[in-house]
Amino acid sequence: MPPALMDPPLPELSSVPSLSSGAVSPGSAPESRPFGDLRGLQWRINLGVLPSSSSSTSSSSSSSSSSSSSSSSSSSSIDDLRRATANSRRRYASLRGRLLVDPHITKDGSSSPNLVMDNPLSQNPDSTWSRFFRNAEMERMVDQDLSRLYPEHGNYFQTPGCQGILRRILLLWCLRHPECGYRQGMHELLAPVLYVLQCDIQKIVLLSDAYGAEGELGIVLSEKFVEHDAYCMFDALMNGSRGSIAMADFFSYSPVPGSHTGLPPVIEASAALYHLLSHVDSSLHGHLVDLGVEPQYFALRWLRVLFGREFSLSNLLIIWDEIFSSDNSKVEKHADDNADSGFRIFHSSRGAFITAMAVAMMLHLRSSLLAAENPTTCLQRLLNFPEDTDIGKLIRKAKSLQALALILQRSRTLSSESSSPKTPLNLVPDSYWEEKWRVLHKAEELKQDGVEKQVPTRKKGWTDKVKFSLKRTASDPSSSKIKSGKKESIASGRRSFEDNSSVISCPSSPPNEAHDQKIDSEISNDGSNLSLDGIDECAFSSPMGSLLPISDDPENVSQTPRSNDINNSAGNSTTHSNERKLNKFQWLRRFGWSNDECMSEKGSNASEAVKPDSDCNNQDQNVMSTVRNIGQAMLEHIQVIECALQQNQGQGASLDNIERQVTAMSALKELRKISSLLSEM
Amino acid sequence: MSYAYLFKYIIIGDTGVGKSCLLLQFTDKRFQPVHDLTIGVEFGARMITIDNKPIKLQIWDTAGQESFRSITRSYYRGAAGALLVYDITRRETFNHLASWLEDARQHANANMTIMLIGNKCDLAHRRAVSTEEGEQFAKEHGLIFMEASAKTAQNVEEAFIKTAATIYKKIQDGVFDVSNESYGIKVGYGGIPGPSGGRDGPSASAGGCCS
Repeated sequence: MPPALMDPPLPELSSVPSLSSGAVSPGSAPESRPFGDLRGLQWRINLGVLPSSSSSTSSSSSSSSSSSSSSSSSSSSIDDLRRATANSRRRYASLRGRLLVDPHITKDGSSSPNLVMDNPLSQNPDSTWSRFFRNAEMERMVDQDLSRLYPEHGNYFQTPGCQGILRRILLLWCLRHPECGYRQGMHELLAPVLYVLQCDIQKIVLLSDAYGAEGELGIVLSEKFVEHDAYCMFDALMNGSRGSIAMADFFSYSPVPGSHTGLPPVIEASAALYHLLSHVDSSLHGHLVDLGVEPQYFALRWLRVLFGREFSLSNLLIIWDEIFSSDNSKVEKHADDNADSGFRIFHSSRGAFITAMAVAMMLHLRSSLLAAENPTTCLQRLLNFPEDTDIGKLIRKAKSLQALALILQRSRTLSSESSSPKTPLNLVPDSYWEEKWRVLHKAEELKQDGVEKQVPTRKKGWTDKVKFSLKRTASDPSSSKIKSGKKESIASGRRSFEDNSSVISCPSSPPNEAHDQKIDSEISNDGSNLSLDGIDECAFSSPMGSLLPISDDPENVSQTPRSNDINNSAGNSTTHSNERKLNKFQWLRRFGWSNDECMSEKGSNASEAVKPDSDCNNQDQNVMSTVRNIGQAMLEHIQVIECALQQNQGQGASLDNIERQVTAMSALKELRKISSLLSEM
Repeated sequence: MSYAYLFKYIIIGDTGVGKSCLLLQFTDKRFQPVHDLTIGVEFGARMITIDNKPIKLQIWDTAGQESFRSITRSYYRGAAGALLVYDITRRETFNHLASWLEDARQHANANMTIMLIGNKCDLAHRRAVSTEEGEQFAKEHGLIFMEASAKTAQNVEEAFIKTAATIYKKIQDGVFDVSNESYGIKVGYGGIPGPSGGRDGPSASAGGCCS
């Protein structure tokens, strides 16, 4: 009998704003998530239990609407899904048959063949009976914790059926991984997984018209095998499916091989959290450090149960959607070999998101933490996260921090590779990143406000697409490639720029007309937000561009302005100080009414870089020239993106990549229109 | 709220002995039959009065599972008092007291006041550890001892307050240098000026937010 689910089983996904993509229309959700309303299925794919097919690889962050092919390709992928499902279930069944022994029952019905060894009083640790007793001991431990699982949702989690499934899965997993054993908190990672599968099955039953009860998905999702499927998901979550983040590590007390800190993973990850915080909010970081609030005091719980204690179950599932949809493969291929490649948790975008989520939570509590006078008060606040938090906002904040975390990790890897005595990262003061994040975040907030006020506009669409493509470049694992093949990539970048300029002159989709008009009107209002957003995101896309010339050859810098990011276009980082970079941001904030030294320099850089565009004069110090400069800056960044995308193309051949690139390219097309519009003003 | 002193407590003991329930009973005066498992550490605070002086207790409630031990050790830092809890209905939780005590002696400061609590004394019919055994153990190891019940609130208040009173007396006797916060004691506004001329409590220690 299926255990009765609590009702309502889940918040309807369509009612949850599509957080990652920012796509406001609810209709777009199913497109970006082929199994959007079947969360368990989506998780199985994201966790690597089931194969991802062309129709299902689009991670939640793909806001593109170009996945119309999903229906056509779904028939082949369903077969793959079925096969993978059947195999994983078979593995679980055999594991259960092998490890969950009951010496009371002999398999063939005859008496046990070796009574000397297999009797209840045997001291032999390998005897069936001693294994049985050991299991019983662990079972008692597990049961004690399971009886305290989700007391507020006891009508599901405390039913004998549910408890039995959870117990068997945990026992088997722990027997299968004796080096880890059972640790408190594991059951709280498992429980939501089982719950989500049960919800899927309930939905399938309700949807039997659409799918057919024995139809395609009925085989992948079946009440009969919910235990098997939950085990496989839990196992994938704990082991990380060969990815970077394996939750089991957070329960371990020995450092992971290759960890340069030599700390237990959960402690190291906690330190990573403070590391990221120190870059985005040094005053909050300083305050916590001064009070002696060590990060593991609260992060141990946050990380071990992946925020399970900090949010309600329904909110937790939304957060896990985001965590699992972040890629868990290692961003830097060589990261493991590198002795000083920073914190392991930053090695994958999933790990970066987890850290970013934690930092976003801390920033959410910022004022109350700063007001706290002693460590215990701080910790009380950190471990009693307010229930009425806007979860969408929190996740958006986390996403922007995630991008930053990946950049930090990257520049760190690069800096440790560089043989130059000047470590590029050291040239950048802490406050630089903080400033950067503030600007980004402010733009993010402003944009959000704008969106809330208006009905969904095209503007929202394109900024997000651009953002998306930029984030892609930010997490693209090709830094070393950029280093080696920079010149070529610049050349190809120029080529693509020229290619594209012809594309742009073609009349494009009808909504653009309205769009352009809107731009006209918006320019005066929140044009600054737009450019801030775009520019700052751009800055994220190529920090290595700004770092490499430093270690290479200072003379080269002038030849490679295009691969430099916005900071450098404000002033070449070799010759100009960090203050200049900060100036740049101040300049951005004020939208360029002063600080024209920065401006003209940037302008000259830009004009050098952007040959195809009209040459510009920066003698005027009026608003118009400022706007024109911004237009050029945008153009410059379009080229940067194009460079990166070109590299992507050469490297990644997966359909997924190409699809994203198409999206990015179309977004770029739009961005280019705006920049030319601005330049013409 | 101003206080004369602020004491840090730590609650230790095996998993499931009722540490969190004791804390909840003390801070919120209620009992939760099924309390969430503690992962890592949780925190509570309450004001009490000793010798007409307001004293703030800040309590660190730790996870009991063995696997947390290597991490929870740092929680002892700066604790003035410890509540070592066992479950009178589960013999093994009593048997493990020695190893908990060893942990405490090793990682806490030597003057930490330790209160031994035999919890769940409302379940007399399931008793597995006699009161005498508890008393004996406490006597041998120089601990204060009480049997309590988080469910009925019996002796809960008393246990926390008696511990505080002992710490307070140690301060009066000059055992602690209260200006040294590693003892887990902080002097607040209402406090008697210490040897150093009186450390300011809450606001002076805030630091960081304006600098």
